[in-house]
Amino acid sequence: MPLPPKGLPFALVEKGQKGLRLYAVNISARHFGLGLGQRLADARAAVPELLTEQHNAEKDMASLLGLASWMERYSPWVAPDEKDGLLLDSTGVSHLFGGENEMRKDMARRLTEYGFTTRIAFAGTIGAAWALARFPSPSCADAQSTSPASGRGKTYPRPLAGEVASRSDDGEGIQFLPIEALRIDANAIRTLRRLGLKTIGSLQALPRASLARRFRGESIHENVLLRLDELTGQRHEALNAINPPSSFMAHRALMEPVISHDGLEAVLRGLVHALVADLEAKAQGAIRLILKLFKSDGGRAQIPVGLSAASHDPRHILRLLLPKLDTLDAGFGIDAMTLEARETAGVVPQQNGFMEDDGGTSLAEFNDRVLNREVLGLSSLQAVASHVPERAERVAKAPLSPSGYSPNKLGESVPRVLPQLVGEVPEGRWGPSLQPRPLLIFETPEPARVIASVPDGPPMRLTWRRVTRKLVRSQGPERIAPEWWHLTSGERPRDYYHVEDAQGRRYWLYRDGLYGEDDGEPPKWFVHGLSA
Amino acid sequence: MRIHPLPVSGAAGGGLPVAGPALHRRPEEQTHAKALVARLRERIARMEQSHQRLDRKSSTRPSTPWRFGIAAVDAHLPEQGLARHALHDMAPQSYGDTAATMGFTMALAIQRLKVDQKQRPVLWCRSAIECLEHGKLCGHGLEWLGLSREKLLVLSLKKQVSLFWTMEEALKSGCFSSVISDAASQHIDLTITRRLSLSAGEGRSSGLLVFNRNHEEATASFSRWKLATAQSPPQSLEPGAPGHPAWAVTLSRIRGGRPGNWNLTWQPHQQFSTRYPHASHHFSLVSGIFGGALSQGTAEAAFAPAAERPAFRTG
Repeated sequence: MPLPPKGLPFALVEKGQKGLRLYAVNISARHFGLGLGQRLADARAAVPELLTEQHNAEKDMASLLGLASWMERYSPWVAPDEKDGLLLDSTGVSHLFGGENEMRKDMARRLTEYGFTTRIAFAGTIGAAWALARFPSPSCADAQSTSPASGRGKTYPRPLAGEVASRSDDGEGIQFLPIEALRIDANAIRTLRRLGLKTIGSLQALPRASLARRFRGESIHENVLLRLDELTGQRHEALNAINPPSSFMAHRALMEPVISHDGLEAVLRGLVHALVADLEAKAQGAIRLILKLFKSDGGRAQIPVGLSAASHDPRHILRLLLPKLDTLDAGFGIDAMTLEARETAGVVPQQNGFMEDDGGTSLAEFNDRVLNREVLGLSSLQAVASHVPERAERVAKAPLSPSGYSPNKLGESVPRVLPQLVGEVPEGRWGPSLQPRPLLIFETPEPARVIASVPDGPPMRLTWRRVTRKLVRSQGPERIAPEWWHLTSGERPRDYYHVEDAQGRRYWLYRDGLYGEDDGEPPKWFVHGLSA
Repeated sequence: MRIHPLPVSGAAGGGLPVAGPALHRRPEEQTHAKALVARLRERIARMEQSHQRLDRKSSTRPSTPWRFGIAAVDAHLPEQGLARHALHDMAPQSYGDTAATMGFTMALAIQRLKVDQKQRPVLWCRSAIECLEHGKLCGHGLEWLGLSREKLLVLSLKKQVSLFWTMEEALKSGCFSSVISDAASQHIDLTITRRLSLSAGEGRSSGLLVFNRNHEEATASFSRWKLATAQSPPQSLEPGAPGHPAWAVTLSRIRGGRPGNWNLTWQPHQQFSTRYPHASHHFSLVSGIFGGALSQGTAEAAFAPAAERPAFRTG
């Protein structure tokens, strides 16, 4: 959607009661006296040149979430607030930007550059910050009163553009705020206004018991006292961050946007070393890492990396991240980078070889490098307690640990799933199979034509893949009956044969079904594997 | 360590002050210097010895050579056996010999594992196309051949380029005793094999390339083997049954050795030899008598009664 020309009244409309209603208006429309929730017909009558566009709630939310993740450059704890606000927990971060005032200015400058109209407030509680950001401070209340904001539903008089509410002394500043700033629903507001209670200060003057008795609603929006306590900080309110921050993260804000690969690589190296130093000090290793790149045009790129085994080896982490930097679209440049260890686990610090530098990598590190490039990593062939060859084995993720490949501890690293269903092999019971098995086995047995004497003579001639072979040796049959406890219908008993043709090539054949059973189809032959 | 400076002759004695101290040293000073040098040398030697004791991976340590265990074959290999930290080629003689080639490669990898000091596992990089064409590896079959499934890791990859990259990285990482990889003949050239053999040297593992068809072009491998199936020697208890895996092996090129060809067989897992696991899993030579007519004759003799039956049916 192209941006509306500056200076012309513009509004987003949505379907409301009795036709289209204004959902949002720009500054010039507001100057013309248009307000939220107004009917489009009325607005058109007042301002004929009004430009409109259909409001798309989904896109709006997506863009708000995008902005929220961009705001993580200021604080790791960000949450979207309703449809048009963002909440940041600035505890312990404002000094990084030179204090709350500087941080606010920086936010306002950047957001204004991206074309957002902002109103930023700092306060000790979520409720107070919400109220201060959404409601004009008492000084400009008179100017605001001229705008015909409809008090219906959940619409509030919007602040004027570019206004910045500074942090007010929480006790004083909120006293004069209207009761709408309490985040309560319309019914509660109406009741309070009828009682002549118009400001938060007047509510605070009332005895608590009477407030609690009057507004004992189930939902928080009905309960005035709870909201009041949240505002003043007597009741704790939690902020649900979109990305819960990790305790291990490294952040670099750059003076100038960096666009070159070398530049980004240098920053990344610094980040990795900073993060690794943190991890190492606490004897932790990263399992899941996320590299966030904040673009100067307001976008954000994210590079997730997983590790097979917890590691805090900077060389290894860099080797995983650097190739991904090549595929990155830096846009107009990157102006901040964050590296987070989302998931960590304790690692036992290992000393390097004393006499020589052990240049090799561990199996887990090798697996990470493969996984970083390919879809599947190292797998091992695990035996399953079944006689049916297709089920007798499964290809599973190789159990890896920082010290290497630990197949003996299968149960520890691979989650056990109902052993009686999967047929996990009890240790030491299903050893090397007593019957010889082929080296290679086909995923789906391949149909073949076989000449054999009836009912169960050895195969004499095999036609498979359009070539006929004379079979000179054979061993069998080895009968494998279907496993009734698997409840798969239509399986028939199989007779397996090891055969060798005149050239010495070996095949593993089976006959599906038995001769002499009149019901059903005649038996079929399949080639199931090839032996060395 | 501090090395005390040698006393300069001019400063030490009351004789003439001379410019060239080395030439005009007095005899007792020379013996003193010699003693000092000898002492230092001894100290260095002692330090080096302790280094070697610490250095477990030291290449100077003698190791069991990677061999076949058959005098006739080993005579063709160089003195130290097959090079462990190098690349070896395996190619089938013709299309149907792929399974045999893979079996022989596995047997070689098992031999290699036996002489690996750290008992590192074996990695097999399979190409997805080969898996469809000739089937996937069967762990039970490998165990029967003699490789326990704990010692094998498998990677399945789609592109040939990925196979080379992975094989190179695996060889370099030094986590595996041997790295086996399927290879499409048309993609292999001198550069790739050179790279792979260098990485094998770096990670001290063996690379085994299994070609999908007969390959004649030059490679940088240490040895090149050509495999064909061979009639297996009949088993004494069951002459009509296929015997142990057998291959017609051609060693077409080996550095520092001689080419040759043999009929080899491999002793797989023996059903009743669990008490003596080392009795199984070894190569042995097939004498010519098993190769041709005799085994075929016995097989036909075994089938003779069946052939007399009138009813045959195709299924």
